[in-house]
Amino acid sequence: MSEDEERQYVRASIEAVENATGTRPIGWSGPDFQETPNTPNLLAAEGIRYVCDWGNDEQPYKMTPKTGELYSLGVNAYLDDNYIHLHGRRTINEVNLLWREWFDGLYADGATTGRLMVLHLHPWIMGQPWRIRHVDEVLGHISAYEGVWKATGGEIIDWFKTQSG
Amino acid sequence: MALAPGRFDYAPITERPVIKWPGNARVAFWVAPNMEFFEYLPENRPTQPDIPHYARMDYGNRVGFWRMLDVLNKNNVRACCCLNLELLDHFPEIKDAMVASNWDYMAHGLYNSRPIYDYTEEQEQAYWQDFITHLKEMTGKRLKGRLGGGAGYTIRTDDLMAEAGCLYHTSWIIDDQPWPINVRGGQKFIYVPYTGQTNDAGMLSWNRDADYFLQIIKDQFDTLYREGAESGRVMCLSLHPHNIGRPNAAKHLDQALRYILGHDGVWNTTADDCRILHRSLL
Repeated sequence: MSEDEERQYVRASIEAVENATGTRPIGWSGPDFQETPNTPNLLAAEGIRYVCDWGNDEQPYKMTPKTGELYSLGVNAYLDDNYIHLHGRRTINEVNLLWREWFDGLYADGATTGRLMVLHLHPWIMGQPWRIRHVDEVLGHISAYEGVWKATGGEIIDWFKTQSG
Repeated sequence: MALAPGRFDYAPITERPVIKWPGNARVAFWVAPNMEFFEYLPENRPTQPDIPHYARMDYGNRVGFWRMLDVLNKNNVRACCCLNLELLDHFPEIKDAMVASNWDYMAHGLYNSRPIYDYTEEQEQAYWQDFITHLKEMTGKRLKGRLGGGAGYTIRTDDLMAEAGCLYHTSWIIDDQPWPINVRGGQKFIYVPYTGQTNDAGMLSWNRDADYFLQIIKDQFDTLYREGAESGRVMCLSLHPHNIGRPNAAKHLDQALRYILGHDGVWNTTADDCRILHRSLL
């Protein structure tokens, strides 16, 4: 995709969401988490504030677009139902255990400095009758702890900016 | 709103008229064994047999079917199978056993190794007439439905089925309730829920064990049963004799059937039962 093509693609995507919901989106998750080398620049230029494609950290971080401001709220591939359960072919029991233990690890380390867990779900996968109890069990496990902040991407970025300057 | 390809309208499952099954059942439960024949030398590979694949599938007809049938009969389950038509000629013993158990039949191609993708309209019309005639002669049953799957599709399949007097297909796994399919002639034509994910095919294609299959079947049922208290749901159990008929697997089918049929409010039926199509037929 050329720079112009991608700019149009990004604009059309943002406008479609705005037209349908009345709210201009401030976050971006690329199809299959894919980008061109120019994507962060284009996203920041169009007013996107955070991107979920970079699953390389357990905390938000500031990215370096040419203009504007952009933060990463990465989705780790292990926390994506499509990647780990379908492509990765782990059983649903393995996924259930993995997600709970992932949280446990973050929670322990979060006592020192805050951590981020972005669970990435697809209705056609986890919304199936035989899988839905696993969503319930994982969310129930996480919700049982004190010190868990359930937030949207925008809320996380707003808070992170006040902390990181 | 009709989305592409325009075969069915969208309606969220939370905003539909309530479905009441016979006897106020929460779940209409049906079992769909795939009765398939894979050719030793398929048309697209006339000189290159695939022995391991052929043998794995043929095992289902030599051994697995009989073990599966025994479990189904013991649980008083009358199946509605996805039928490769030529199987009736190749294995008269299997045909007789299915007839004796009063099974119903959905079209599923001539052989699993011969999909219909390239059929012209005329070829496909002849195919449906042939299927209807042959099935009636061999089993006494009038063809009503179809599962596509390995048998393939054309863009006209649903139209031609409806024109041939068929009533439903189970090919598009789009819902937990029956739903009307739009056909060009305006006939009543229904999607009946089948299952791709809670299907014993995962034992082969995903290397899942039979006990995992039992677990997800129970979980599938539990959710549909809970939701069915408000409006009826359909649960399909899809089987392949070469999978579920393995010595280690059949007992898990038995446990699944006992579990499901042990609940009040389960309607033990088949996709061929017109009452399951009542949504738009009545």
